[in-house]
Amino acid sequence: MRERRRLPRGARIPTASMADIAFLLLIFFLTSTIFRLETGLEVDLPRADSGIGAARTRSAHIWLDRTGELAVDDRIVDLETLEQVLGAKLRASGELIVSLQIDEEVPYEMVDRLIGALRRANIRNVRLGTEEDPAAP
Amino acid sequence: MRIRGRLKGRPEIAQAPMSDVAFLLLIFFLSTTIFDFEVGIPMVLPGVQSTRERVEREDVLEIATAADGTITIDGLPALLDSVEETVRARLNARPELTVFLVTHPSVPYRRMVELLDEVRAARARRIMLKLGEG
Repeated sequence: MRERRRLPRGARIPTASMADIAFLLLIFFLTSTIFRLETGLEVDLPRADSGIGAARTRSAHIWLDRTGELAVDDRIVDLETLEQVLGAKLRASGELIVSLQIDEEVPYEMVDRLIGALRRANIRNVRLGTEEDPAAP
Repeated sequence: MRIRGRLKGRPEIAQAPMSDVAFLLLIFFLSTTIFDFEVGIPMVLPGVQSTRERVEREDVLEIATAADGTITIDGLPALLDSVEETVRARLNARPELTVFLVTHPSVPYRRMVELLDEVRAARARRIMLKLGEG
């Protein structure tokens, strides 16, 4: 014979802890949200399979679009002032990873000149920004 | 003369709308959060005052891209798809292999990244980027 368990009268789902969970999630999103202010230049990145994902922390971004315009973070610069700007950033942060967002149609000569300027500014760690190939398995 | 208002009963702070506000803020941050993440090929550039290193000719593999986009490996014409295999074979024979990527000045950057991608897929660790002669 089966015994039936009786539910106590007036059974309730405790909702008091829901607000605690909401606050915990809220604090998480509050602390992890970054409102991106810099927009950079419009570039089409080349596709590559061997690209590695990385957080954007401690990195400066350089954009080079197909017209040859150059920007560091949110500032349009030329190749000569680039060294000074990066030198100042390097002194301020100690260690700097430079992320290069170069348009895929830019002639390699311009890329070489940019890398030369980075070397003169004593930048060692560089990341060539790519896009994941959607056709890749 | 100041008139003091009397409080009726026990004063309480209403806590019920607090969770509503929390949820509203939560939805806002959930929808606006961008996890700052980007993809790229990491490289370490040599310093300006870095010492020149001597490498044996056998330890060098030169992959060149001409102005018209054609690829040559050590002077012999090759296809992009065969680069990984060639580099892998040479790496097995010479583990200290240095790959020179020589790119013509007018070649689009995309072409160099495609080659670099193939060379990295072959697990070559010593890669040098060089500007070809225009």
